[in-house]
Amino acid sequence: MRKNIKNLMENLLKLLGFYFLLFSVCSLINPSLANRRFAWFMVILAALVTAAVFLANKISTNIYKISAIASILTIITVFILYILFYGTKRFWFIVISFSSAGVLGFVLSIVEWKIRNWHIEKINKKLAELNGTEDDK
Amino acid sequence: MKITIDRNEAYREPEVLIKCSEISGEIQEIISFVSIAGKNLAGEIEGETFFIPLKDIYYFESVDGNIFFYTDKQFYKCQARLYNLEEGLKDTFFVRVSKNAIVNLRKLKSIKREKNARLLGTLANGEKILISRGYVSEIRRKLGV
Repeated sequence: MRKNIKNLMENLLKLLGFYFLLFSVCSLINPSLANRRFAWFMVILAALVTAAVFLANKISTNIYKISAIASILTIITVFILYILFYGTKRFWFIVISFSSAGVLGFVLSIVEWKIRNWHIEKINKKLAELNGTEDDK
Repeated sequence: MKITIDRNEAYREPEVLIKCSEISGEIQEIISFVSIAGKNLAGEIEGETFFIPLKDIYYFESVDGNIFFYTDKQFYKCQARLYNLEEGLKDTFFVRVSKNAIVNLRKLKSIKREKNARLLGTLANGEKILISRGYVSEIRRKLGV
Protein backbone atom coordinates (compact mmCIF):
# COMPACT_ATOMS: atom_id res chain seq x y z
CA MET A 1 0.00 0.00 0.00
CA ARG A 2 2.77 2.37 1.04
CA LYS A 3 4.70 1.43 -2.09
CA ASN A 4 1.65 2.15 -4.26
CA ILE A 5 1.28 5.59 -2.67
CA LYS A 6 4.99 6.21 -3.23
CA ASN A 7 4.67 5.21 -6.87
CA LEU A 8 1.61 7.38 -7.29
CA MET A 9 3.39 10.36 -5.75
CA GLU A 10 6.41 9.86 -7.98
CA ASN A 11 4.26 9.61 -11.07
CA LEU A 12 2.38 12.75 -10.08
CA LEU A 13 5.67 14.57 -9.53
CA LYS A 14 6.84 13.45 -12.91
CA LEU A 15 3.68 14.76 -14.51
CA LEU A 16 4.14 17.99 -12.61
CA GLY A 17 7.70 18.21 -13.93
CA PHE A 18 6.46 17.76 -17.47
CA TYR A 19 3.88 20.47 -17.01
CA PHE A 20 6.31 22.92 -15.45
CA LEU A 21 8.73 22.44 -18.30
CA LEU A 22 6.03 22.64 -20.91
CA PHE A 23 4.60 25.79 -19.37
CA SER A 24 8.01 27.40 -19.11
CA VAL A 25 8.79 26.68 -22.77
CA CYS A 26 5.44 28.10 -23.74
CA SER A 27 5.99 31.15 -21.54
CA LEU A 28 9.34 31.84 -23.16
CA ILE A 29 7.90 31.52 -26.62
CA ASN A 30 4.82 33.54 -25.87
CA PRO A 31 5.56 36.25 -23.28
CA SER A 32 1.92 37.19 -23.13
CA LEU A 33 1.41 34.13 -20.96
CA ALA A 34 3.69 35.54 -18.30
CA ASN A 35 6.61 37.93 -18.07
CA ARG A 36 10.05 36.63 -18.93
CA ARG A 37 11.37 36.69 -15.36
CA PHE A 38 8.54 34.48 -14.29
CA ALA A 39 9.21 32.28 -17.28
CA TRP A 40 12.87 31.81 -16.29
CA PHE A 41 11.79 31.09 -12.73
CA MET A 42 9.56 28.41 -14.14
CA VAL A 43 12.42 27.01 -16.21
CA ILE A 44 14.62 26.64 -13.12
CA LEU A 45 11.76 25.20 -11.12
CA ALA A 46 10.94 22.82 -13.91
CA ALA A 47 14.56 21.72 -14.21
CA LEU A 48 14.75 21.15 -10.46
CA VAL A 49 11.50 19.23 -10.29
CA THR A 50 12.34 17.16 -13.35
CA ALA A 51 15.83 16.42 -12.06
CA ALA A 52 14.51 15.52 -8.62
CA VAL A 53 11.89 13.25 -10.08
CA PHE A 54 14.37 11.70 -12.42
CA LEU A 55 16.97 11.11 -9.72
CA ALA A 56 14.36 9.72 -7.36
CA ASN A 57 13.26 7.62 -10.24
CA LYS A 58 12.86 4.28 -8.65
CA ILE A 59 9.35 4.46 -10.00
CA SER A 60 7.58 1.34 -10.96
CA THR A 61 7.13 2.29 -14.56
CA ASN A 62 8.81 0.96 -17.62
CA ILE A 63 9.50 2.57 -20.95
CA TYR A 64 6.03 1.67 -22.22
CA LYS A 65 4.30 3.13 -19.21
CA ILE A 66 6.34 6.32 -19.33
CA SER A 67 5.66 6.67 -23.04
CA ALA A 68 1.97 6.14 -22.38
CA ILE A 69 2.01 8.82 -19.67
CA ALA A 70 3.93 11.19 -21.96
CA SER A 71 1.49 10.56 -24.80
CA ILE A 72 -1.58 11.11 -22.65
CA LEU A 73 0.00 14.23 -21.19
CA THR A 74 0.78 15.53 -24.65
CA ILE A 75 -2.72 14.90 -25.90
CA ILE A 76 -4.24 16.64 -22.87
CA THR A 77 -1.83 19.56 -23.25
CA VAL A 78 -2.56 19.99 -26.93
CA PHE A 79 -6.25 19.77 -26.23
CA ILE A 80 -6.05 22.47 -23.54
CA LEU A 81 -3.86 24.67 -25.74
CA TYR A 82 -6.19 24.17 -28.65
CA ILE A 83 -9.11 25.38 -26.53
CA LEU A 84 -7.09 28.31 -25.14
CA PHE A 85 -5.70 29.43 -28.46
CA TYR A 86 -8.47 28.47 -30.78
CA GLY A 87 -8.96 31.22 -33.30
CA THR A 88 -5.69 33.00 -32.47
CA LYS A 89 -3.96 31.35 -35.41
CA ARG A 90 -1.01 30.58 -33.16
CA PHE A 91 -0.71 27.06 -34.36
CA TRP A 92 3.09 27.16 -34.15
CA PHE A 93 2.59 27.55 -30.44
CA ILE A 94 0.65 24.33 -30.32
CA VAL A 95 3.16 22.57 -32.54
CA ILE A 96 6.12 23.62 -30.36
CA SER A 97 4.30 22.65 -27.18
CA PHE A 98 3.46 19.29 -28.64
CA SER A 99 7.04 18.74 -29.80
CA SER A 100 8.66 19.83 -26.54
CA ALA A 101 6.45 17.55 -24.45
CA GLY A 102 6.93 14.68 -26.85
CA VAL A 103 10.69 15.05 -27.12
CA LEU A 104 11.08 15.47 -23.38
CA GLY A 105 9.02 12.38 -22.69
CA PHE A 106 10.92 10.40 -25.26
CA VAL A 107 14.37 11.49 -24.06
CA LEU A 108 13.52 10.86 -20.40
CA SER A 109 12.16 7.43 -21.25
CA ILE A 110 15.23 6.43 -23.20
CA VAL A 111 17.62 7.76 -20.56
CA GLU A 112 15.74 6.02 -17.78
CA TRP A 113 15.64 2.77 -19.77
CA LYS A 114 19.37 2.96 -20.47
CA ILE A 115 20.25 3.69 -16.84
CA ARG A 116 18.17 0.77 -15.58
CA ASN A 117 19.69 -1.58 -18.13
CA TRP A 118 23.13 -0.35 -17.22
CA HIS A 119 22.50 -1.13 -13.54
CA ILE A 120 21.28 -4.62 -14.40
CA GLU A 121 24.29 -5.24 -16.61
CA LYS A 122 26.57 -4.23 -13.76
CA ILE A 123 24.75 -6.56 -11.36
CA ASN A 124 24.94 -9.44 -13.84
CA LYS A 125 28.64 -8.84 -14.37
CA LYS A 126 29.26 -8.93 -10.63
CA LEU A 127 27.10 -12.03 -10.24
CA ALA A 128 29.09 -13.74 -12.98
CA GLU A 129 32.28 -12.88 -11.07
CA LEU A 130 30.83 -14.34 -7.88
CA ASN A 131 29.68 -17.52 -9.60
CA GLY A 132 33.14 -17.92 -11.05
CA THR A 133 34.65 -17.55 -7.59
CA GLU A 134 32.36 -20.19 -6.23
CA ASP A 135 33.05 -22.60 -9.09
CA ASP A 136 36.78 -22.24 -8.60
CA LYS A 137 36.36 -23.45 -5.07
CA MET B 1 45.79 -8.60 -0.04
CA LYS B 2 47.96 -9.77 2.83
CA ILE B 3 46.74 -12.81 4.79
CA THR B 4 48.12 -13.53 8.24
CA ILE B 5 47.16 -16.58 10.27
CA ASP B 6 48.01 -16.46 13.94
CA ARG B 7 47.76 -20.02 15.24
CA ASN B 8 47.80 -20.58 18.93
CA GLU B 9 46.24 -23.33 21.04
CA ALA B 10 45.34 -20.77 23.68
CA TYR B 11 42.64 -19.31 21.42
CA ARG B 12 39.25 -20.74 22.33
CA GLU B 13 37.29 -19.51 19.35
CA PRO B 14 38.52 -18.56 15.86
CA GLU B 15 38.50 -14.84 15.25
CA VAL B 16 38.75 -13.03 11.94
CA LEU B 17 40.21 -9.54 12.08
CA ILE B 18 40.14 -7.45 8.92
CA LYS B 19 42.41 -4.42 8.72
CA CYS B 20 41.41 -2.03 5.96
CA SER B 21 41.11 1.67 5.19
CA GLU B 22 37.54 1.29 3.90
CA ILE B 23 34.94 -1.43 3.40
CA SER B 24 35.17 -2.08 -0.31
CA GLY B 25 33.15 -4.60 -2.30
CA GLU B 26 35.95 -7.11 -1.87
CA ILE B 27 35.98 -6.67 1.90
CA GLN B 28 32.19 -6.94 1.99
CA GLU B 29 32.52 -10.20 0.09
CA ILE B 30 34.91 -11.54 2.73
CA ILE B 31 32.63 -10.41 5.56
CA SER B 32 29.66 -12.12 3.92
CA PHE B 33 31.57 -15.31 3.41
CA VAL B 34 32.94 -15.42 6.96
CA SER B 35 29.55 -14.54 8.46
CA ILE B 36 27.84 -17.66 7.11
CA ALA B 37 30.81 -20.03 7.18
CA GLY B 38 29.93 -23.08 9.23
CA LYS B 39 26.47 -21.79 10.14
CA ASN B 40 23.40 -23.98 9.80
CA LEU B 41 19.71 -23.32 9.81
CA ALA B 42 17.04 -25.68 11.10
CA GLY B 43 14.40 -26.68 8.61
CA GLU B 44 11.54 -29.13 8.81
CA ILE B 45 10.18 -31.67 6.38
CA GLU B 46 7.08 -33.47 7.61
CA GLY B 47 8.00 -32.95 11.25
CA GLU B 48 11.60 -34.06 10.85
CA THR B 49 14.24 -31.41 11.52
CA PHE B 50 17.33 -31.00 9.39
CA PHE B 51 20.24 -28.63 9.81
CA ILE B 52 21.17 -27.11 6.50
CA PRO B 53 24.34 -25.04 5.92
CA LEU B 54 23.41 -21.45 5.11
CA LYS B 55 25.67 -21.48 2.09
CA ASP B 56 23.51 -24.21 0.52
CA ILE B 57 20.30 -22.22 0.81
CA TYR B 58 19.12 -20.62 -2.42
CA TYR B 59 16.33 -18.48 -1.08
CA PHE B 60 13.73 -17.96 1.62
CA GLU B 61 10.13 -17.45 0.73
CA SER B 62 7.02 -16.54 2.65
CA VAL B 63 3.96 -18.47 1.50
CA ASP B 64 0.64 -17.92 3.28
CA GLY B 65 2.39 -16.81 6.46
CA ASN B 66 4.81 -19.75 6.49
CA ILE B 67 8.50 -19.39 5.75
CA PHE B 68 10.21 -21.93 3.55
CA PHE B 69 13.80 -22.12 2.41
CA TYR B 70 14.96 -23.84 -0.71
CA THR B 71 18.12 -25.72 -1.47
CA ASP B 72 19.15 -27.22 -4.78
CA LYS B 73 16.40 -29.85 -4.90
CA GLN B 74 14.62 -29.67 -1.56
CA PHE B 75 12.61 -27.19 0.44
CA TYR B 76 12.18 -26.91 4.19
CA LYS B 77 9.80 -25.14 6.52
CA CYS B 78 11.49 -22.61 8.74
CA GLN B 79 10.23 -21.29 12.07
CA ALA B 80 11.86 -17.85 11.79
CA ARG B 81 10.07 -14.80 10.40
CA LEU B 82 11.26 -13.23 7.19
CA TYR B 83 12.17 -9.89 8.79
CA ASN B 84 14.14 -11.71 11.51
CA LEU B 85 16.04 -13.63 8.86
CA GLU B 86 16.67 -10.42 6.94
CA GLU B 87 18.05 -8.80 10.07
CA GLY B 88 20.13 -11.82 11.03
CA LEU B 89 21.56 -12.21 7.55
CA LYS B 90 22.24 -8.54 6.87
CA ASP B 91 26.02 -8.99 6.74
CA THR B 92 25.81 -11.92 4.37
CA PHE B 93 25.02 -12.35 0.71
CA PHE B 94 21.38 -12.90 1.52
CA VAL B 95 19.29 -10.02 0.35
CA ARG B 96 15.61 -9.20 0.30
CA VAL B 97 14.40 -9.20 -3.32
CA SER B 98 10.69 -8.82 -2.83
CA LYS B 99 8.10 -8.50 -0.10
CA ASN B 100 8.12 -12.26 0.40
CA ALA B 101 11.57 -13.49 -0.60
CA ILE B 102 15.21 -13.32 0.47
CA VAL B 103 17.78 -14.62 -1.98
CA ASN B 104 21.33 -15.85 -1.60
CA LEU B 105 23.28 -13.76 -4.10
CA ARG B 106 25.87 -16.53 -4.27
CA LYS B 107 23.19 -18.67 -5.88
CA LEU B 108 21.81 -16.02 -8.18
CA LYS B 109 23.10 -16.38 -11.72
CA SER B 110 21.57 -13.41 -13.45
CA ILE B 111 18.79 -10.85 -13.55
CA LYS B 112 16.69 -10.19 -16.58
CA ARG B 113 14.15 -7.51 -17.34
CA GLU B 114 10.70 -8.62 -18.23
CA LYS B 115 8.46 -6.67 -20.57
CA ASN B 116 6.04 -5.84 -17.78
CA ALA B 117 8.76 -3.95 -15.86
CA ARG B 118 9.36 -6.79 -13.45
CA LEU B 119 12.75 -8.37 -12.94
CA LEU B 120 13.28 -12.07 -13.08
CA GLY B 121 16.26 -13.66 -11.37
CA THR B 122 17.66 -16.99 -12.47
CA LEU B 123 19.18 -19.14 -9.74
CA ALA B 124 22.07 -21.56 -10.12
CA ASN B 125 19.65 -24.50 -10.26
CA GLY B 126 17.68 -22.86 -13.06
CA GLU B 127 14.80 -21.80 -10.86
CA LYS B 128 13.31 -18.36 -11.51
CA ILE B 129 12.45 -15.83 -8.85
CA LEU B 130 10.69 -12.49 -9.07
CA ILE B 131 12.68 -9.46 -8.00
CA SER B 132 10.97 -6.19 -7.14
CA ARG B 133 12.68 -3.13 -8.51
CA GLY B 134 12.45 -1.44 -5.14
CA TYR B 135 15.06 -3.87 -3.83
CA VAL B 136 17.53 -3.51 -6.71
CA SER B 137 19.44 -0.78 -4.89
CA GLU B 138 19.97 -3.13 -1.94
CA ILE B 139 21.25 -5.84 -4.28
CA ARG B 140 23.64 -3.31 -5.81
CA ARG B 141 24.81 -2.25 -2.37
CA LYS B 142 25.50 -5.82 -1.30
CA LEU B 143 27.35 -6.55 -4.51
CA GLY B 144 29.26 -3.29 -4.27
CA VAL B 145 28.31 -2.10 -7.74
